[in-house]
Amino acid sequence: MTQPGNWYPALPAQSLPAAGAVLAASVHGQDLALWRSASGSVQAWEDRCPHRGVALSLGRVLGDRLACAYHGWEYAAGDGRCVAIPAMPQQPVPGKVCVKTFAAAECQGMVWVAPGATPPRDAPPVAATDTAPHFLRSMAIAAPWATVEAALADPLGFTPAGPCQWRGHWAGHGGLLLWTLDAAAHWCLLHVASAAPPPQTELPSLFGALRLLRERLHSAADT
Amino acid sequence: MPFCTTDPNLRNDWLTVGAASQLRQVSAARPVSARLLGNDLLLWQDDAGAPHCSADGRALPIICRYDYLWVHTGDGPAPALFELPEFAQPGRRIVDCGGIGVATSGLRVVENFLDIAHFPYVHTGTLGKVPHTEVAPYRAVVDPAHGEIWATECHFFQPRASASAGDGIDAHYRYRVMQPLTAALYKTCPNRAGEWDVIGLFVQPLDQEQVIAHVLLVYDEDVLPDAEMIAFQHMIFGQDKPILESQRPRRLPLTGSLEAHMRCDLTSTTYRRWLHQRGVTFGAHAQPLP
Repeated sequence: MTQPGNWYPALPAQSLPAAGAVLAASVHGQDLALWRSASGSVQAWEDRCPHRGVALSLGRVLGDRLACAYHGWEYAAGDGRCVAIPAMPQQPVPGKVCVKTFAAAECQGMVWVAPGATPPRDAPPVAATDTAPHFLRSMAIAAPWATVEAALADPLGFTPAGPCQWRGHWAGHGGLLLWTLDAAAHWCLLHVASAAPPPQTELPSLFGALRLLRERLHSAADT
Repeated sequence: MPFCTTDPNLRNDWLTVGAASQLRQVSAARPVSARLLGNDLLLWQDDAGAPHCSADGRALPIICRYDYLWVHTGDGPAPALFELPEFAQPGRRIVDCGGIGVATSGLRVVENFLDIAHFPYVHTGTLGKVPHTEVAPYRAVVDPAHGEIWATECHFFQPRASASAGDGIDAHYRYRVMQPLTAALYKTCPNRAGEWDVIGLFVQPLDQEQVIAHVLLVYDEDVLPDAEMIAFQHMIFGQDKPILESQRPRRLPLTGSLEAHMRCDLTSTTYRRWLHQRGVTFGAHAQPLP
């Protein structure tokens, strides 16, 4: 289902901590281990160690390296090349041992990943906004991604703002920015931001409106 | 219901359905069920204490050896079960640690059991500890007499080699693979020089990607209560389980370059080649994956 060279919004950048954490994510059918190098640049790797197939998202960040949880093999940020095999410290590491890596970028407060075989030519196709959007919340929607995309346009009235991106207003709250993520066959993720931080007094009604939005998307999937 | 494989390696060999102790007080009137190769079996014992097994209304050969039940699901004659002479050795302590469910191929579980390089990372502080990560050269061969794999001359620094180990030791290991889904390890006994503790791993394949891993201790050790020895093994297997269940693909690739091999993986590569030569397809990818 992944289009070659396409960018997809994986998760809000603030959800990926500065250093030390590895997150597991599934982006349009590709299981990923997401982490940040010492300089903070986002790494999106196939979630599979090339040695014994263990999930790298169980691993540990060591500065600019990600170490597998099984045998401690270490892989370098950037190209994913294996740089240390602790069971054989005296031996040179064979050059061909390499994690499959994907293009990743941080843009408009979201982490974008291009999980296809072909690297993307351009930057993530983000919608132009005057200021960085204010992230509100992520919601799991119990409906397939294609159904949610269709329902956001009609009947919910959001406007496409690029691939997997929508803008519009909902239940009296304007300036909303939505990202959809195809996470699994029967559910998807919806990340929601607003153009500006909403006033504190509006928050209860705003988050109530987002829960209503989720209910509407669920009903759209049922019909 | 038919069995879910025709792989002769599994259908013509003895497969475990768990500990014999489960048949205590189980009669033909109220048998217990067990799952094997995608099929449901009924198990019970008769008045003389002999085990019985049926599947699809048909009686299957079943024997009790090493405190475990072994079933033969094939149509041909059953081979002799592997020998484990330490089981009958006087002074040995036999402790059944029970079974642990693992959602992956049984071949992955056996391969992990044969691996020492993961000790410092998965069993930190007991079976290994960083920076003691180096795996010294060892031997792994197929014994031509019995067709079993033997890995010998393995040794590794262990902070706490067993439940009763005090200080760290340079533990010596020998591994043995008797059948594709049964293996044993012989390790230095922390309390008695010159003796080997034996741990048997008997994997019960529920299907190609779900198993119960049964663990039997045949120890010289006599210091600790059973519960502590069992708890130690449960801790070790509990540490392995999430690693094993995260492996992709779940079925073991027997050929091809999907997974990288180093010299420290000699037991693993010997095991995969041995499986491939025997024509194992159950729980395996026999053809190279892209």
